[in-house]
Amino acid sequence: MIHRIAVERRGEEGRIVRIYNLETAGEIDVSKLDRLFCNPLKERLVEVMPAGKFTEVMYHNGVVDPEQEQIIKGCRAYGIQIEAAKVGHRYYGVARKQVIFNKLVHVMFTEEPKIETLKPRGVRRGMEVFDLTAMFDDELVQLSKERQLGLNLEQMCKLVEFQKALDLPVVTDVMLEVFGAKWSDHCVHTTWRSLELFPLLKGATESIQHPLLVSAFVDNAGGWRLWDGYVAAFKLETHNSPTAKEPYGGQLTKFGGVIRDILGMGKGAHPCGNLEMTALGEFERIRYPQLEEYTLPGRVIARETIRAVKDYGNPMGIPMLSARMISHPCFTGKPFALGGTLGIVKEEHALKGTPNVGDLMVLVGGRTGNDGLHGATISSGELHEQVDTGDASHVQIGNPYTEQKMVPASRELKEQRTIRAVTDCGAAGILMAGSELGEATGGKGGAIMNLAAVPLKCAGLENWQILLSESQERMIYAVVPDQLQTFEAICLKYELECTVIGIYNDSGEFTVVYDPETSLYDTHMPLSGEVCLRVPYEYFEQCPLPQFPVNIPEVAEHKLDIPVTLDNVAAMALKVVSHFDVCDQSAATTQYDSTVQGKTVRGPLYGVNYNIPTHLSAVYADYGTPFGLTVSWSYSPPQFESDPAKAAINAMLDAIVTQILGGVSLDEICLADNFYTPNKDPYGYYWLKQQVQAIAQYSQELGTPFITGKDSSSGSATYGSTTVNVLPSVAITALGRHPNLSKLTPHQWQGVGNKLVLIAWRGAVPSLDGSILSSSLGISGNSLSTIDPFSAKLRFRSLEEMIKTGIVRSAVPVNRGGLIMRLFEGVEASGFGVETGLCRELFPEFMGCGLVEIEPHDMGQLYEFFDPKFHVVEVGTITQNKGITVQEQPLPLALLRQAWQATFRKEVM
Amino acid sequence: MAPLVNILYFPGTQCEQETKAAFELAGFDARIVFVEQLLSRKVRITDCAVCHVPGGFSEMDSIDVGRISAAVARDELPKLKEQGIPTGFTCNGFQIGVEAELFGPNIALVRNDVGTFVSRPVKHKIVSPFENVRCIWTDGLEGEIYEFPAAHGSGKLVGVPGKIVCPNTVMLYEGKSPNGGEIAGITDDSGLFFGLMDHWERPWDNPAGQAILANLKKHL
Repeated sequence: MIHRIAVERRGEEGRIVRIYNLETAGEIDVSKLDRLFCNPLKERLVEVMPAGKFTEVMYHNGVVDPEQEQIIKGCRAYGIQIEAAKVGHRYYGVARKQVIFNKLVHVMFTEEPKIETLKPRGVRRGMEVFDLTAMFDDELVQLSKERQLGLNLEQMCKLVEFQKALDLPVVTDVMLEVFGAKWSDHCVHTTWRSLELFPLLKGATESIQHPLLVSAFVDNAGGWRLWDGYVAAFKLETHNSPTAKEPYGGQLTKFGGVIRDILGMGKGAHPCGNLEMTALGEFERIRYPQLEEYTLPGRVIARETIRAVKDYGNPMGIPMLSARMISHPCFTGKPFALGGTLGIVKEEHALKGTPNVGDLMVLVGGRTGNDGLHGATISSGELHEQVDTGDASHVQIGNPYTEQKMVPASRELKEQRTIRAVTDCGAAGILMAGSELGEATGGKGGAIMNLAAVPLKCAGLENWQILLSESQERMIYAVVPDQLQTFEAICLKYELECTVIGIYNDSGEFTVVYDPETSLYDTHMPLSGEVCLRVPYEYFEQCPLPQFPVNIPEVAEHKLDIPVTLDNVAAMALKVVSHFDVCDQSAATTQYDSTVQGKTVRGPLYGVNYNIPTHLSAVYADYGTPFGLTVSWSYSPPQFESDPAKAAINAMLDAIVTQILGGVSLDEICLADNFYTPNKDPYGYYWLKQQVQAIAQYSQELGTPFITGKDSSSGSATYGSTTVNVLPSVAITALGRHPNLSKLTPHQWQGVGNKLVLIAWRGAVPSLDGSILSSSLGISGNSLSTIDPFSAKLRFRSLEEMIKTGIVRSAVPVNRGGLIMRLFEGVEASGFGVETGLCRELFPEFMGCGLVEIEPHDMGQLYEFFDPKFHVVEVGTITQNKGITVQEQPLPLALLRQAWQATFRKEVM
Repeated sequence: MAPLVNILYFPGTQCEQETKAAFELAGFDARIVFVEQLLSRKVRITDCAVCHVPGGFSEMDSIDVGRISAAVARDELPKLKEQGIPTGFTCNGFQIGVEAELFGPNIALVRNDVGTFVSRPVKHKIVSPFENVRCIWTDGLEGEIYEFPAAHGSGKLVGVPGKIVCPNTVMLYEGKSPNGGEIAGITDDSGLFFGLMDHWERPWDNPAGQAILANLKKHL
């Protein structure tokens, strides 16, 4: 029996009605539930629905409403037993335009719905089979295309070989889908492997032999040793294709995924901080107006990003440490959706485990549905309008509530020693998680997985869909068999569903069955039910790699010359502060909880008005530890537009110097790389190689290892006749360990009369190429300034020593926006003023350099570390009167502030 | 012996660890109690000197903030009042307390005026209740101004139109309110309950939070 309880919230009268659909076995006294669904001070029960046209949206019958569990629980508290529940929203008038509808999971009504049941219904289709050996080449290619496998002819031919070698009359659709996912760029990094890039970066890390390194590139996240047995977990992830298609879902699950990477690091780390950076087009320059009919406007992506980051990050209870949006026309086709999470784990649990023979494969968390299918293959391919409209299912649906409960549960599961290994279900779902975990079991690897045991939230899923679904909030644990009861009890305590879905063995094979009759698992159990897949583990490694052209571009040097004088300095300053990349974005940032867990030392903003973006964020490792983690990142599209290789170096120097300015030693910093490479730019692979070579060299010579990273090599999108390539670029994030965060160097200016000093590289003032000013003016040169690694290391060491003396009262890096931006932020953050004798030098970006505040009587000590002739530029003096004076000429501070605050509000909010 | 604090955990609670650390720093002995343990009679909610309901997104804010948790614990929470256990309610804990009508039937916490979640430092001023009530948590701290962060989306305290929102106000916003309301914290008629939307436990060793806890300890 279906009951519908309609409620209007105060303030939404006549516009939105919430309808709680409840299914019961028989009659109930609905009035008993009045107080559950209606607090008279906030809501009103609707007896008669408002008249007029409406649109009603709810989850369709194939999908369980995420709120069902809570509503059943609430009803039970009032003595009413409910079998199923779904929440509908009915919109009237202008509110109909605000309807959020995802055809993958929602159903829409414009007339009174006739609901027979709320329980999932559907019919499961059997497996399809194919005789690949009987197919011609063009048929193989066609099959790959039709099923969106993303496999080329050579790879399909390899599957023909496998079919013959296994002596199979036919192969199943499961086998095709498995290899489509396993051999996707997303999962095996075909681009990087083909270009032989991994050895460069990993080789540099290995050669450093850093004593703080716990793990690099082998686990879900990198591990960096702190003190007292604590290890920091470090991971950043991109979610570009899903965000282009459906920004809310894409950004939501970006965080879901990267947080699970931390939960799956070692035997489970505790997430302690999030990082957010999204680059999207095109607020600064309109380059692709013809794409408006194909792509979502930047404003929509930006708003949906904010909504998603807030809706996932806040309920997770993980503080946001840094958040920024950036704009460049090259992201019009596909945004750069970067998100990161830091974690903490004790050293005894910091290394990845391997299941023993006989360990149970246990799936924990959310149920499996039809969301996220083909996520691995689609994110590895080019985005175009056919994918855009034809396959919406690659976008996942997130529910942070389930994942949040995993955080405390994860802690207990490992402390009670119930598990041998863990990993998260990300791309290609339980296929990748379940198979990867068992690849070394017993020396040969081996696992049997039973799809019939997997709890589903959608009815009628086919076998390959269960296996590849990228439904969120799921982890796979290898559970010690005699600890299963304890494991289940912990999951029950946190109301997490857990199910044994298989077993690890040493067969050397990965086997998938569908057998509803099997619930007991044995190492060498006879296979029963439908055998969907049975292949040697070694087959997964035999992916024929595609070849990628490395074309060398012809570059004619062009250096920008923008005359900045006292006559135009105010206008130029206005251009800089109002640029989207550096403007006031606190309206978004303050929507993210930055203090939860109570260990945040410096969050995403600072200053007397709490609206200035932080360069270096910090959290304590634990309650009572003086030490903690510091994090900084660098990514500036104008730099990559100017010279992709030098920009990669500059990003690295910038992220590192930010740490050193905060008081972190060069020896205590590690790095993450997140590459974004266009796959249709003829020179994209050349620049990728140049970038990897450059950062590997600097990493080695500076002694700062890369310990985690991600390569997104599908940064091209074609719509109609237009192809948009992202800039060949890499975001660099630095993680440091700080011995005593109470001594973290402040960003905020400390005292009137103090000197502001730029610690610069030796040589001429950098060019304006790659600067925010050049981007504002819409011009770009390719003569980007940088410095050799030897000199950089010398300067970093001197800076580090100077910081240790305690003479530096505050410090910021001179990155995006240059000195003029730092002076403006300094004034706004402190309420003081500044007088500077510089003018033209205020606009270039001194990447890798710092602006430090020194008391006048300490200047002599500063000169002991830096030669005043070559490395010290006296920028100005902090004054009592709030304002910026350039060579005795005051800049219009109120106008600058207005411009700085207006951009984001105008473009996004 | 250090007074024992029961910190209640509902599924979706997320501030239990920093709350526990803050209480322990202030000299209390704190433990986390799962609501399921209360419902299954494994633990008694009143077996403690102090109880605390911390922040989070309990039961995924389903139906409305605090609604399901208040329903699930509807037979348990009133025992604190009956037994005279001093109880703190922070953020989502306060939303649960208000939904459970532990501060009276005529108040509610509604969406912030700005319509969004707000996370930023906020200043608070301790005041005396209008009526003859002494709040065990804040009594003696009147006039103090404390800074600790707000992090909520539905924190504006409203009452029945035309009446004083809450006569038992013990903390006002000093400067810009995160939610548009004037009232930050309230007590109940007994002075034992203390609810506020903002987080005195952030950071865990915040001197403001420690001052409030020291004050509470003094009055126990």
